[in-house]
Amino acid sequence: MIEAQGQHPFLLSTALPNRSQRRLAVGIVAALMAAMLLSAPFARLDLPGTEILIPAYAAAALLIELLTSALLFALFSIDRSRAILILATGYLLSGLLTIPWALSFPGVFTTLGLEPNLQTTAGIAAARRLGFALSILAFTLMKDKKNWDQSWKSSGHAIVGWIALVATLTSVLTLALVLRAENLPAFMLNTREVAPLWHVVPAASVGIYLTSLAVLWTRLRSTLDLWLMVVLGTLLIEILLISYLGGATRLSVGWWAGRLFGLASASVVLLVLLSETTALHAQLVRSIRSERLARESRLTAMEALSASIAHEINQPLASMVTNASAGLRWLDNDVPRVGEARSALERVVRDGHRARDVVNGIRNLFGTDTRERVPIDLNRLIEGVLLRAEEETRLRRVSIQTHLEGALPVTVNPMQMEQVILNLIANAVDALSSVTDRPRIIKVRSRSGEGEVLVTVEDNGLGIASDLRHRIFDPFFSTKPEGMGMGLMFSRSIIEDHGGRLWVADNIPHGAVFHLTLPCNAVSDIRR
Amino acid sequence: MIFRGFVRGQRVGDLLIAIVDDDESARDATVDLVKALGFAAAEFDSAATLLGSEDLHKMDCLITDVRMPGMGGFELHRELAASGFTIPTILMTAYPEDRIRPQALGEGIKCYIAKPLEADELLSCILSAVDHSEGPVGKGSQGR
Repeated sequence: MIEAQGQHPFLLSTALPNRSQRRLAVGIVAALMAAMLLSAPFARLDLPGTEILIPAYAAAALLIELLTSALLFALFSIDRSRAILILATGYLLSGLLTIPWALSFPGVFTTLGLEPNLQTTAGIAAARRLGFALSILAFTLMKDKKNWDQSWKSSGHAIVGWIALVATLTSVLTLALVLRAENLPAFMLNTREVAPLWHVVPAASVGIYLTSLAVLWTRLRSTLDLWLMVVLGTLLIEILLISYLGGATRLSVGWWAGRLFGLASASVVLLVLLSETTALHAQLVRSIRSERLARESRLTAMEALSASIAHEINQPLASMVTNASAGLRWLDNDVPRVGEARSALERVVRDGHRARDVVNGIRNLFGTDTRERVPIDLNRLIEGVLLRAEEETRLRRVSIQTHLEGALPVTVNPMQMEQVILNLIANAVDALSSVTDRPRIIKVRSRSGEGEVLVTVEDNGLGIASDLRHRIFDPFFSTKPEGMGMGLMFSRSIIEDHGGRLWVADNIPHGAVFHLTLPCNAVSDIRR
Repeated sequence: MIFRGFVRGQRVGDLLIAIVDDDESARDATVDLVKALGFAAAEFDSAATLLGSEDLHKMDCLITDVRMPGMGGFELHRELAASGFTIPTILMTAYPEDRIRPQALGEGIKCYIAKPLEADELLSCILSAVDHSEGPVGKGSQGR
């Protein structure tokens, strides 16, 4: 799937990591490992009284995780991949859980009268660590599947829904852990030391981290994947320091070092993600600008070409009319001057040939023989066009639903037919650009009927006003401010040239539906 | 319907119309239409050819294309006016512009017509051009 990888080069979730990004990632992990080794000899050293630093740590962790989750939600709104949504949710959950974790930490907020049960903080920590680890695992397993989330009306609704869900979950979980603390399993022996049961949590986390790392290692596809590997590496080092080197004792050097290294690494990753998003955004702006310039210059060239073609055809046409008028005059004489009329008609013929030569010249100019027809399966052709249009439709938040029935054998000029389908899709996408109150949907259906195949392209946009409907196939008529007004005219003439028909009807309740028919051939004709 | 008769004492068949157009097929067509309308015609492939012609003083009317390489129809008209030959002039163009028309008529152009030429329109243009002209029509008639 080389094509699929080439798409969306502007998103973190699809852009391939380059060499310097890989180098930076390796550098960060190496620095963390060095820091871990340096602090390892002192890991079990106690730092009593450092509880007062917990709120600062928690605030920083909360901020970083919320920002990362916001970045990922923004990515989802364009990318629409469920994997990204899950990852963003994981970050949000982890961030929000730092609030009750810090509030319930023994000895931190005692002045506020908060003295919750010994097990509550540990319960929250377990939920936070395992929840986040699971979200990363879910991401790594889902990331390469093409499951674009189309069940939501818009990505905005989806994001709000998930945020509400996570906030509710956090509150319910916290309340349950606070109110039902006495029912909790014993994670802690006292405020500092863990009970044997706790060891399940870091062990399970390490297991999930390693699994995710292995999956990402084998399926490293994007910049986001690369930085998630760094995040996983950091988490591994963090948990090694906290739970193993630091002896799982709270407020030890290892415990603090793990957290601070984790925080530092998370900030670096966030900064890198932010700067890469900005860089990719700048690149996108540049490419849009150059695309627009190219389109404008193409239009100018088209205009110049059209003007000169119009002139070249106009000349012989004008001469033909004048010659024909002269011929009529000669015949209208009292004694009809047949000889003169004849030579006038001969000039009409000559000018007609001249006009034909101009048209042939243009045809040769574009090089392709439009008469060449090959037997193909129209559904494969439609799928190819949709694949090419996918990037555009996703960026414009249009979802395309297809109902392509079996194989549709037709004999067509594939390039022309691709142009027709692409033109219908592009028109449908344009028609949806002003729709904001409902999901933007294009439905492409195809089926075979009696001796012909039928393709319909329907959108749920604003539709075509009835007084304009008979004009949209006219040359130079466009409802779009920048439209040339040639697309539908060309499309119809191509389809009619192939012995088919192209027409438009209203879509119920919104939008327009274009119908296209082509004569069908026997299935055996398809060239394999 | 062919116009038969006299304009200011001269038979129309004796009226000589100069036709200037760089496009050969367009020129052929115009010449033939003018002849079919009953006039005599002389053709020139550029403004310079007409200006250099010994027969320039014999022309009763001038029909010229607006856009031509070298000297265009407007410049030709001005050149003729400046040198004292007030030949009644008709401008023809494939790209008529409404804002040019009053300007052309203001400069003394008799008619500003669009290609392709309509026989009746061209006829009435030529007739009104030579009829209202005080130029070579009267003088030229004595010589022939």
